Amino acid sequence: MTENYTAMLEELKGIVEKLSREDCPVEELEGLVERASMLIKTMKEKLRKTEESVSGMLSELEE
Amino acid sequence: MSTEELTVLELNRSVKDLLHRGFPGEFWVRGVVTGLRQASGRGHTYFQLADPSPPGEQPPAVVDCALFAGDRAAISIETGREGRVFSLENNSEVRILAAVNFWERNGRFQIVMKGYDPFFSGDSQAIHLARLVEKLGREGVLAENGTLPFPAVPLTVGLVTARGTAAMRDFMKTLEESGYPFRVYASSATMQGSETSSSVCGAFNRLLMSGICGTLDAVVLTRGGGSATDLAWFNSEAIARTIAQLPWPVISAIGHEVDTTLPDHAAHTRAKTPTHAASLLVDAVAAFDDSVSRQARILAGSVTPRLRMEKMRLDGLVSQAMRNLETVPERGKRTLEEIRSRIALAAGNRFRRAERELSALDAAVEVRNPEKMLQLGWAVVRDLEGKPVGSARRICPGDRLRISMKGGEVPVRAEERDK
Repeated sequence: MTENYTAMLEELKGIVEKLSREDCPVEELEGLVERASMLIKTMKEKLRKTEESVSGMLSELEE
Repeated sequence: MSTEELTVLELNRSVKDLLHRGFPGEFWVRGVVTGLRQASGRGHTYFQLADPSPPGEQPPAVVDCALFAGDRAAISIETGREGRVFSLENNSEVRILAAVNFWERNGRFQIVMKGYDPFFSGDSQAIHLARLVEKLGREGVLAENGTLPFPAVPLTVGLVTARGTAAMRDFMKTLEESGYPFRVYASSATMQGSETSSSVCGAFNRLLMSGICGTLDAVVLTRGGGSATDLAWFNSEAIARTIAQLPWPVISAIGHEVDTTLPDHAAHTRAKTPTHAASLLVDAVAAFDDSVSRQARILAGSVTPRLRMEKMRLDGLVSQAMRNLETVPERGKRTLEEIRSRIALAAGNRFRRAERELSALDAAVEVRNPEKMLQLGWAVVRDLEGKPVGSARRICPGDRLRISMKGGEVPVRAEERDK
């Protein structure tokens, strides 16, 4: 997990919190969801790549 | 006085008879040999025996002597049994066994040599030697060489002797038979006659001037047995003084055990014979060899148990190290596998947690997704630019709007606004 992932996570958490509030402006709703979807997609891809890389490295340690 | 008349022959016979009755057998007589000559052909030797006299003066008495070839052979054999070499030389003082002889035909008296005392040393030589010993001893010349230390391992030896003689062979044979690696540098010298002194001194000097001078441990001066006269040539002041100045200890081995010459007094060590001289060197080396061997045994005796103990300790350490080495890879592998498993588990857990976290956030976002809300029957009012109109207060009658809803968008116009 890199710092970027953490930063993205923090941003995503912020968006979710904002979306959860009753006073979340409707005008921002679409943009926030769009940004959140992009973050989730990026983070999922990062998670997948990182897991693949870690699995590969751990496999090399097996004889 | 008798009036009897005799012929010369009768006279000579009478004299001969009287002579033989007066000297019925053989007797010892001593004197200095002079006028030595060999009779041609038959091998007989003739000489005169004289009482000693100062140089340049006539001897007090002289007698003719004959040594017949047969007697000479017997004397040589007998002298050889005593380990001596028989020889007669002018001016040598000898003690001989003799019988009287009187020749009737010419009335000539002589003695016939029948035997020889190989151990006789004339008084004149003995006195000469004693005077030299006294004089050189007083000067300290005779003690000089004896003050040199004798090397512990005299393996490099100078040898002053006549080349190819029995003395040299005996000396070399004894050294060779010892098995020790002796190195002998021979310096040849005349060991008999008037040139003995200068030749021996020259031989010593050649060793001094040679390149091996500094390597010599000792020098041996030797010759085999001989008559007292033969050996008397070594009673030379020059030889004694040369020995005193040499940088190496000298072993003197001249003649036999009973013989004494001046080099015996001047040398560091006196040996009885050439063989004995070699034995002294061999014994010195052997003593050193024994000493070294003994020290080696003592050293080995004290060191070996310690070495054995250290070896056992080392063997133990090696075995322990080998055992450890055998287990290290296994332990390492196990440890690494554990670590790898823990990493895999932790990473897996972390990914699952991240995935859950992300899924939860995704679900939370999805709930607020306008598209999703449209599917549920909600609608979004946008202006003509597509921007959502979040409040009815922003709509005026106559505004053209677009309503996004499930199934698409619918263009509408606001007629009036509720208060």
